[in-house]
Amino acid sequence: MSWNAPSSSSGGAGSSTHVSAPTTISKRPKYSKFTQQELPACKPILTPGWVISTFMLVSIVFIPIGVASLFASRHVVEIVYRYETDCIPPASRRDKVKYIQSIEDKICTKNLTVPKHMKQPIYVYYQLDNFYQNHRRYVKSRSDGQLKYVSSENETQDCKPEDVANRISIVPCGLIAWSLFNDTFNFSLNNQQLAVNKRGISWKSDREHKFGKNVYPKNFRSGTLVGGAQLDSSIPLSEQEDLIVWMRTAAFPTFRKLYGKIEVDLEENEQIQVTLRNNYNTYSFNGKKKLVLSTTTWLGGKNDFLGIAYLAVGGLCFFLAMAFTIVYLFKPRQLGDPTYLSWNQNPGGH
Amino acid sequence: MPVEFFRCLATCHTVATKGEESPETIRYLATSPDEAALVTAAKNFGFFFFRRTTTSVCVRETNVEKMGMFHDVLYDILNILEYSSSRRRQSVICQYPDGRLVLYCKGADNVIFERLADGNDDIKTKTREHLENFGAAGLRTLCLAYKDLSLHAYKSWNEKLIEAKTSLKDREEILDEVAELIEKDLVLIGCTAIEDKLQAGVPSCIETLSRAGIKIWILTGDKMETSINIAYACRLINNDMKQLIMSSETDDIREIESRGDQVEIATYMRAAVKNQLKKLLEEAENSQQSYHPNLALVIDGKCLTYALDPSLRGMLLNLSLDCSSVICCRVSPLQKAQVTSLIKKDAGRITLSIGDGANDVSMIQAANIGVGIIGLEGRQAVMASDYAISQFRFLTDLLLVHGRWSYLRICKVVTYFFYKNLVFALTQFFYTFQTGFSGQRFYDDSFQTLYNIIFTTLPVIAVGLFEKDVSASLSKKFPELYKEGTRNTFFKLTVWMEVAVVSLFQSLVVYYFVVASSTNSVHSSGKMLGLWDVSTMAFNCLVVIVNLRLLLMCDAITRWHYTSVGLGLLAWLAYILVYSGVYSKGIYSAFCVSASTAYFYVTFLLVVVVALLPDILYKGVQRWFFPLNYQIIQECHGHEPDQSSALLQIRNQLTPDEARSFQVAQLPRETNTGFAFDSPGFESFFGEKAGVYAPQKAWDVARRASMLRPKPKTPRRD
Repeated sequence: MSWNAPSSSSGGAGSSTHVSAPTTISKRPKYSKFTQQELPACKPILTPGWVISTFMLVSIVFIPIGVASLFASRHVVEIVYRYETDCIPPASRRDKVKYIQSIEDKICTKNLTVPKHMKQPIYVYYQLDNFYQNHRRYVKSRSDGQLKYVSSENETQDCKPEDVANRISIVPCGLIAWSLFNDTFNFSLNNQQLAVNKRGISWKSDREHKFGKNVYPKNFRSGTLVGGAQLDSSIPLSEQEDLIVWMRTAAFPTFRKLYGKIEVDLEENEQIQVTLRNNYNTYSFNGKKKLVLSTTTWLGGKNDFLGIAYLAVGGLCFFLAMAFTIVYLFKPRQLGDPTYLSWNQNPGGH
Repeated sequence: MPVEFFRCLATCHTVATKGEESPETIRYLATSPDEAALVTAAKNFGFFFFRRTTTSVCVRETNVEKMGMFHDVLYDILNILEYSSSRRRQSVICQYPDGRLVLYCKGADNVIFERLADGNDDIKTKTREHLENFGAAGLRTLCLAYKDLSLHAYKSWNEKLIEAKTSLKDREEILDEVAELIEKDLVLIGCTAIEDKLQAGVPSCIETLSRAGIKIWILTGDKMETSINIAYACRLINNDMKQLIMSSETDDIREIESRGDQVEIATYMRAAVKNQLKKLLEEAENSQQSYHPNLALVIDGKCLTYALDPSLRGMLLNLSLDCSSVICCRVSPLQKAQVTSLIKKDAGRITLSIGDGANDVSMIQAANIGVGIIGLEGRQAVMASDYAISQFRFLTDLLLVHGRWSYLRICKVVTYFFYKNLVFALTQFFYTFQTGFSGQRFYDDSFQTLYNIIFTTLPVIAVGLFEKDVSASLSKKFPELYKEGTRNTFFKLTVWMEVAVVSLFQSLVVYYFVVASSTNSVHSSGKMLGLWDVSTMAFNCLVVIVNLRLLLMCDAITRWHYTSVGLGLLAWLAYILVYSGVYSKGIYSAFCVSASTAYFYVTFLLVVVVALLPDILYKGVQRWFFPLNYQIIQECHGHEPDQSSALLQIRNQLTPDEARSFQVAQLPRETNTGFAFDSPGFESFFGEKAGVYAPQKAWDVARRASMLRPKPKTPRRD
């Protein structure tokens, strides 16, 4: 059977004399490196040298970044005041929900001490805990079309139950807008009012592209469900920055939202008096409320995690690189030593 | 008698002719090359079959008395009882021009001997002797017989045949039964022997495969002597091996068979096979304890019939698994399939069947992998097979190179798919806990959709196409590497666990590192990130990590890998820029907003490096302290360039012996059919002309007379 070997030369010679030689029809495919699996390839081999240098490189890059991040984070001065219980008169603390739902003026004041010099701008945040702004039903309960275009006023199908009131569409509709945060903070230093600048607290792209300049609140909070803040129907949505900030829904149930900026420096040990209007009902779901005053750096607010993570990873890599170097020096494995092949170590069996 | 011999050869066949009707130019078209060879042999001895009509065969016979005179004889073929693998014989009933009716029959020796008339004992013993010699020389043998028929007997039989042919139920069986009626009381004429050459490179191929940890069994229809001979030629058996032989050709069995009582034969055989199996099993265990060299089991089809019985199967299996090579001879196609499924189902091994003939079809289909050899034996095997190759020795390439690569590629692709989806899904899973189990998606819907379609697809295709740990030539140089596949090194549970752990770790890093600090303000302007900003950041990290890890786990990175990874990442970047750039609900400008913060880049670097470092650590430590075989070979030969056209090279690893036989096979054969007895010594003759040394063969006429002992080195294979 061996004469049918696919050698084209012998095929021609073999049957040439009497029968007309068959033209050699070769089915061999055209040669290409692609089809023949011979593409030039980089064959990375993770040798000890590579391992050590990788870890070394990582540690060299990571440790400075870690130091810089940690330094930046430590540079931030932050004052956090948790007020959801403080701001309820002791007498009403047994039934907080009833208190918060009453119509009386719920003012409370608090003196905060500045721990360190705070350079302006000082950012004022409110922080809510256990508030699921990322709940699926909550996230979709808005109408982006309506926020931007007057003509899309009636696109309220996602907004139920806050879609229409008195058969007129609500602008802005939906649960997000309806639940707008409505505690207010006033600051005074030595009986002098500290101005809180509420301009420019939202991302520019939101202001300019998501909220229309000629869209005005309409029919807002006129329904039976008591919600959050009321909107001034004479100001277009694109200038209602509290709403814009609120409507960039947070990713986690604990979140901070920017409230405003204080544009004066605060000195160490200065007392600032905060006058709070505690209106927002987080009591029915045990939510916490906090007031945060914070400065920022290039990395944003207080954020030790990044610095520590960088330093830890960099340090670990440095340690590993050192350990591997020592092992490499004392017990190197010769690369490509055929005695390591299993059939050389254990001849005959496997 | 010699005249009958060649008449039988010239008439009893199903060969068709092609070309001019002269002995030089005629070509015979046969279903098997053996058949054509026999007809050609008859031609060369002066019985030239030159024409077939629907009812007759024309033979130009040399006049026996007067040399050089021819006369054409027209034999009417009244019936052809065709060859089938169960019948293992073929008959024609032909009518001479003078009205004489003869049945010529040609078939396997045991089948013919069963049907011989009594008497003529000397020719029977002589023929048996011949058969043994031929078998030992590795030739394929057939017996010829004839029988004169009376017109009356034929006519009554023919009626039965016609009835059988028109029957609607079980036609095959009825036809066989009817054939059985007339194929009896035959007169033995003699036997034929055909050399079926082993293809070039078979021995070294088999040796390579057994080094790769593959156990090789021969399942053949040949006689036992022939098969053992082949096994020697293929180096499946060598002189150091202990042969365990289970044969039905013993005197006791023959004696009982001659009595003809089927029930008695069966009971006796069963008991005998059982005893023999027990004995051999003990022997095998003893020799294993005493570290006796390898064992070879030789078993014939008749014994196999009983050994495959459910009660004995287990014993047979144990015995055969103890042996390093197993040869089953005289097996029918059905038994080939049974033996294959014995290994496949009962032993739970992966089986590959390779064969070139129609009788291999059933085993090719029974095995996990069927390979057909494109040869002279027709295309049935090829049609039934999963893979078709043109020569046996290409099996090395098929298994050791392409098989190994495929295994590696499939493993990598599947584990990678598992990995990338697990990482992706786990981040979503973690987020669920933070959303009050409301089912809010962490990623934008379109990210989820495109993740598997665009961002991470192309690179894994490149891996599936181009991944190779060692080059083709090294794969063949170190067949032991193949064992990694048989042990399933790259696809076992521990591998899955590793992948799962890696995925879990990376998803934790991606999710919690991004999340950990984004509850705080991340920009010098004090502004906060929202849901979509955080998720875009996490997704960005995820896509980069998943793509980079692909490069990390590749052993060969071609430009297609770089291109596809680059394309995947670019596609992601382009997509997010466009998608968040046009007005699109929540995601609008999410990427630009987050990318405008330093925090974005600092987190990105941290997450990507931390996610990938353990991989590097694991791989580095594993290669350093617990290197796998392929890794060492990579290190030995990593700097060598891929041998160009290593795959195209057909003459791979031929030993000098094989190279010679290969060259001999390539010699011109205008006047020769290539069969051994056609023209003794032709190979030497043409070999000298072509400058190739071709040794004289054992069956050369000059040496045949002195051939008393079988010569083992006559390669030939079924």
